Amino acid sequence: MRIRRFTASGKRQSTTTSLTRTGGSSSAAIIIIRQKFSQLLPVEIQKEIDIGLVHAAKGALRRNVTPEYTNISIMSAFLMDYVGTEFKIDELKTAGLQKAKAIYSLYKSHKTFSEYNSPT
Amino acid sequence: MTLIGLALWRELAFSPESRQMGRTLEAEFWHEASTFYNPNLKNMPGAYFRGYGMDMRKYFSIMGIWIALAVDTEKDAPMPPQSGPKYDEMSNLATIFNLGLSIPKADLVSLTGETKARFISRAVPNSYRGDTPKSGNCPDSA
Repeated sequence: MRIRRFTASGKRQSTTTSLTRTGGSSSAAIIIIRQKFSQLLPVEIQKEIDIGLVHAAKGALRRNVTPEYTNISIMSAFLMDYVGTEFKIDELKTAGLQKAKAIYSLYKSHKTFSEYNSPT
Repeated sequence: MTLIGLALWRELAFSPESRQMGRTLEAEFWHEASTFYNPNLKNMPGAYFRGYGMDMRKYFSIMGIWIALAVDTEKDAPMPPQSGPKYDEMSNLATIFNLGLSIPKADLVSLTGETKARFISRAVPNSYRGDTPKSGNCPDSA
């Protein structure tokens, strides 16, 4: 990957690596860019973003965080659903929707999130 | 970050079912947050899971940024007055502005209103398997 980002420590990471590791927060910004501003990006960069997102979603599927891990699971559910639908990868789409339903059900059973009161 | 995730469901999920779940959870979560938020103290009571600190006015928390945007006045914003730890969380502004704020009106009012002494209890599920509370980034971190 030629798309680079800098970590807090100053180390460079490829988009694929960082998206897979975070599974969500970076993906949120990247997906918004892809949805709303892709026309401003060179085609080559658009392709690399797509590759990075698929890697990230497959990483989220493999990591398979529990619904109790609130914000990570919410991001993972969205990422898998989005990528699975957009790139026609049924395994990801199904896993994303299932995780979303599990998160929703867990919230309804307790009327609050497990990751209670986290200001992060 | 939870609110950002739910706003993603609301705005960019492909399936109507996911969008609706996002809208519902986002509204209920804002109600939960505004119920526990104290506008006088500009803070929320613990317990804290995965918090970077115990005082939203001593570091830049993502929830503090959401509330600051909702109340839209500097004096009501639960943030450090100028600079402070975790300022990099302000990078979430671009994501938040693109997803938009969706908060029930009554909950918005309670984020700025006067609060009286009250007792609130909440049973939190104990099967949490995420990270431990953060440390090392803030002076008052857990």
